[in-house]
Amino acid sequence: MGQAVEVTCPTCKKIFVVNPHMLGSGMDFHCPFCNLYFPEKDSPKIRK
Amino acid sequence: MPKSLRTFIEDCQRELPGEVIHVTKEVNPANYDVTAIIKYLGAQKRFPIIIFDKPLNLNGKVGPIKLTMNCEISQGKTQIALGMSRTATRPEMAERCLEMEEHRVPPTIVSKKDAPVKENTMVGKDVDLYEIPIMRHHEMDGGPYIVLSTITRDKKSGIYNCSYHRMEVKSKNMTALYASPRHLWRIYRDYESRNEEMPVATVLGHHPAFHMGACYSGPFEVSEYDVIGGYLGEPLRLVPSETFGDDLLIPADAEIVIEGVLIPNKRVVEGPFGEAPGYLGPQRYTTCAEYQVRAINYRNGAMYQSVITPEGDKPWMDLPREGAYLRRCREAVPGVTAVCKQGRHAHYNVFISMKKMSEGDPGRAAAAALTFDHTKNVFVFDDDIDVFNPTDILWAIATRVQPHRQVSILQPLFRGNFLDPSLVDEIKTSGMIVDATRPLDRPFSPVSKCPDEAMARIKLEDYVPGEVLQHIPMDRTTYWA
Repeated sequence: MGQAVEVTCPTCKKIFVVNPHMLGSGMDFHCPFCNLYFPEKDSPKIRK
Repeated sequence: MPKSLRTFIEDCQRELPGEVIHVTKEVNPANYDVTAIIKYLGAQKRFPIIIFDKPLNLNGKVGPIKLTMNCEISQGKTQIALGMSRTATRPEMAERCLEMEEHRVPPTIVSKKDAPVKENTMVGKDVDLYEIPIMRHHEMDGGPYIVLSTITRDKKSGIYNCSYHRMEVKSKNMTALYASPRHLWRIYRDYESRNEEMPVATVLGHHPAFHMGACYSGPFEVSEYDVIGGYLGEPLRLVPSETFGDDLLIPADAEIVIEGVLIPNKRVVEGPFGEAPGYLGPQRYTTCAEYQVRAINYRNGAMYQSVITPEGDKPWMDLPREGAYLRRCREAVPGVTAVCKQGRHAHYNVFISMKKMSEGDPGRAAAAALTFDHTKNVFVFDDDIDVFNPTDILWAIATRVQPHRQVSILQPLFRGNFLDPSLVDEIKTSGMIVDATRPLDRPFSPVSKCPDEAMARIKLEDYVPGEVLQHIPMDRTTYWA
């Protein structure tokens, strides 16, 4: 885990944390608030 | 009668009657109802075993399965679970854990008809995890989470491994299991190298001694069912699993056991999850395997058991590790008297007390503690310091430490813990050793005290009678006394 990266959900706009190794992995993020699975490119904001 | 969660709760009802309560009102564990209730009680320093009689399951209905919380919290409950004296100190309890781990008891196998966990089974398409009242623990959790012990078996040696792994419920028959790179992951990677599914089972409710044995952190080669037998003080009763028969034996007296397989060469996204250190563990996938559930076994009137971290003192998780630290630190320095790593320090801080025989003893003991995965900061004290008392600890650090001489900052050479939010590397951590012992090679001011003679001569009762004393309020607002 170590560092947390903040990801904004494209649908509900809420922010959640992912491990840096998720970035560029090709794995979809999972929004814990609205249950959306989405690719990295769809997030309106990723704060490292 | 074999030990089970039910016998433990009966023991607590008899010995600590106020510590077992029922909540009869309907609650929704997946909508944080249970978390909120436990947080409110915890803020008042109240940690009763709570049996929720009408929890909603993940299908949104009140089903036959109840929810039980807080069995792991408090020293008193753990003393009852392990059959210890109610006056046993924490170091004495850790010593006892070491003895129980050394006096292992092999399990015994019973037939299905003698196994309460086989009273009900769901298999194949009937498997439905949503029938269980599984909790969402904290805001931002990726989903409902199961957090208790998962069992697997090393194919080569046949030994059983039991360990805690968080798993996010993804569907009615699938979870994502997150494993730190220890024993279970080693076994899984072995199966994975042959592209084989790994049989697993997860125990969702048993006697605390079962769960304490599952916290054992000794050599890989030790079969942890034997260690659990040591903690129980009797053979763990096992029964062939529904899915794998004799190839994976499961606890016969558990409340609920789910069975399934970890799929090889497949990773699943899971998290975030509010973890033991008290922070959200970010979403991840690298050591997260897909757990396909093939069967669910449960007793009549089953109680699903869960744990909220970092709420309360959790001796059932900390004591086995304190025992392991004690053993290893004593191998380095025989004068080590106690090791504390409990509570919200989340294993990262370790406090050691010792009878120092030589300068350098504190460094050796600290180095031994640093061989454990989670250890980051080690504080070493003389044996007059109670390492379970934060006031003692802070006093000694304030009065026995010259930082430029006694604080050592260690380079980030150590494998750390993924759950440590302070890491700036993926896995490596730096470290710190604080030697808060008094020097042997120069005079050091003695601790001020009332003479022993006066303490023996003066009887408080003669001056402040009991009827007066009982009305003097204890000052619970003074944390730093």
